[in-house]
Amino acid sequence: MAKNENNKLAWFLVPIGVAVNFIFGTLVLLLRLPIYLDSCGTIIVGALCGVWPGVIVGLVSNILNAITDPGTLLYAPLNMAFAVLAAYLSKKGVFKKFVPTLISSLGFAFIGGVIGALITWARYGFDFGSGATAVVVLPLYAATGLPKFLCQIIGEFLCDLLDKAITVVVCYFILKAFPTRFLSKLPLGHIYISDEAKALEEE
Amino acid sequence: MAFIELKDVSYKYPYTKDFALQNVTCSFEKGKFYGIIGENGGGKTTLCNLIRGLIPHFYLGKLTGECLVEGKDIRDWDTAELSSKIGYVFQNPFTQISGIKPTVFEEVAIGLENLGVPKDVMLERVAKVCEQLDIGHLIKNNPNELSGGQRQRVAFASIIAMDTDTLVIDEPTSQLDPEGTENVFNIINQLKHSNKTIILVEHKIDLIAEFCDEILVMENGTIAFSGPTKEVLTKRELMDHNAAIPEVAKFGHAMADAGKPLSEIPVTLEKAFSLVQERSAR
Amino acid sequence: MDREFINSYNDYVNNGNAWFNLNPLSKLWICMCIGLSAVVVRHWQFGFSLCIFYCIAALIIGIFPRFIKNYITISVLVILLTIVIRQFSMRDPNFTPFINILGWQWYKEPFIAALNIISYIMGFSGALLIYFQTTEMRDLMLALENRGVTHVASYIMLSSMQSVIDMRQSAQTILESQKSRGIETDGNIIVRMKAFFPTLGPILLSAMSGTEEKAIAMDARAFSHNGGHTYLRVLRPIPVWEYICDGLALVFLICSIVWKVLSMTGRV
Repeated sequence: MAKNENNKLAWFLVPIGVAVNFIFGTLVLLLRLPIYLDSCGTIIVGALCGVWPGVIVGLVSNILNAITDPGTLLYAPLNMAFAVLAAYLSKKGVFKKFVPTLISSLGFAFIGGVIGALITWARYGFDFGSGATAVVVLPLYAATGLPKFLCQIIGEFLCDLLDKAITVVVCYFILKAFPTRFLSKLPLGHIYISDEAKALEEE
Repeated sequence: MAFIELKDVSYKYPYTKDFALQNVTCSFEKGKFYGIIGENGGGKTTLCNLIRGLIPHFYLGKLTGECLVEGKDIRDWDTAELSSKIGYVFQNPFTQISGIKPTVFEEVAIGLENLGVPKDVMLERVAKVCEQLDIGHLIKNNPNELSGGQRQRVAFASIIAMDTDTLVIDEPTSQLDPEGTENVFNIINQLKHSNKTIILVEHKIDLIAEFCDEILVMENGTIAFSGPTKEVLTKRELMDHNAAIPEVAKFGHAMADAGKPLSEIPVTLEKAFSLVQERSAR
Repeated sequence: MDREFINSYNDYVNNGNAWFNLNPLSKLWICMCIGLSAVVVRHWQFGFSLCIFYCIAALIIGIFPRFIKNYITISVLVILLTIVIRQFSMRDPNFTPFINILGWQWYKEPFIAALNIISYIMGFSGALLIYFQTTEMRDLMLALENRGVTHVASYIMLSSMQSVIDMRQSAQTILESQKSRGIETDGNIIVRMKAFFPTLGPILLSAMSGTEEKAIAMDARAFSHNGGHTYLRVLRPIPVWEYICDGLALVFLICSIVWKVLSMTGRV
């Protein structure tokens, strides 16, 4: 019944997802925490509403960032890939349990590492990027003599891991806190509705 | 002819235990002013959601019985089409501002833009509504920076500008300060004199008593009482049902209990005043 | 009531000078063509010439102070880090010694490579920065809607911007009230973490429950109506000279591509 209408709320959640990306980023800065958390909104919307709304959250977030720093536009595919992964993992029920959620951060960090390195690589003329990752990448390169690109991937992966671990844990608790009546209106919301509530529906 | 008709309607929200509406049968005629009262959780908002077509198009769940708008079942209505027939204003002034328009004037025009109303008609109608609702001085302001009361008036303006035959108004003053409430009452007073069908949910019983032609009292998802305002509000049983009842009606009952009855039970202050005068003149 | 203001809606959207009033899409086209030319050419002399050009353009358009502040902010880190990192990451015994800073030997080739990268990043960013500083997002979305993009896209974009503002405000309010209730927001990292998480909950839940009502409110404003929309604000029809400007920008980009191809094949 009225499946189409069920997606209506999903699009209204997109602006909130974007705002969450921004605000968590700002809060983290304000409280001087050593993480970014700037993909929380993307992952939550991806997990609750599926691939497309999540991808749009990622894209819009990057466009808004580009207003003051156009260079960040290049990293839009990264945020969009997070949404795809979040939607996939959500359908598999990964975010329902704590330990799988925590493990999933490896996946997000992997995407962050590989795609991030690819973009950085292209952006900086196929050489190391000029960001915080350089702190890890340069010594790694100097010490091991591994190929530069591999160093960049490893560097970005390591830098991302802590951030993504905290991000998915935050997302896990947020997803848990949603009221049933709200979840019931979202495309993937049914995944997070408790069994007791589902039992009521069976009667 | 009944504009909206409910026949034995029951409804249960998804993943909930109890029915929010149970075997509700009622009808709303064109051009009349209806008041819906009753305790919280009694099903008032659910009834509004149903009439507005949000049930079953936005809220899933179990809907049985028939709900007809202009003789057509609510399930068959297209929500967009329904929104041009039935306007809806609700409690929260903050979520009723679109957030995508930088001036009040454009905010009020938003529904007309969506409906594809020609620009000259739009300009004229928006200007008229802004004047009517006393927000003419605000048209250049950013709606996202207004106070709650001002936002609620802008919300009313956007809906009234769409000129729907019917308006569903769900507790429009419950989140406003006294001044905001007063302003909203003025708007409702104006609406009373248009020939629209109005369905108003409101806790402030004196307002209901003053404006409404008919009243529905809801309790546990059913309609406990319904009928012409005076008939319903003077019912003694109403007091046993925890329903709000005008102070002056209570006074009337108290007078009767004391063996000094007024010639009828008043529901408005004005009426009470004249009845008391009449009695003391006797 | 301000009649003049109401009547202003009868005119086309007017944002000020000729550059501001370019159609948002042709303006984007022009900025993209120029910005991408920097990406294509990747030569520091070209890139930095563009940067100077942007500054002059910003001066003429009348956005210089805002532009230069933003431009410097986003460039400083890129400039410094790229130059330094290149000195470490590019190593070759045949490099030409360049300068020596307190015993730290710099080489010329990595330095030029760094300049090339910096100049193209700045050459690209500058063009888009000018674009975003002279174009209102709602005008861009309106132009897109005129081209047949769904109004839902406009809603999502514009509402996102407003949501960021709204949520930032509520975050600030909550953070301040937490401070006044004596919850530490300074101190060591654990303390700050503890301040962070209780702040999230209320912000999120109120925003989320808001979406449900927002959807209902927008529905009441015929948001899902799919017939033709009309617009209170109307963009100026695109004049011929604007198309010519678009064409010139494209020619500029093509020239830069041709130059790049020729220089790569060693013919320049």
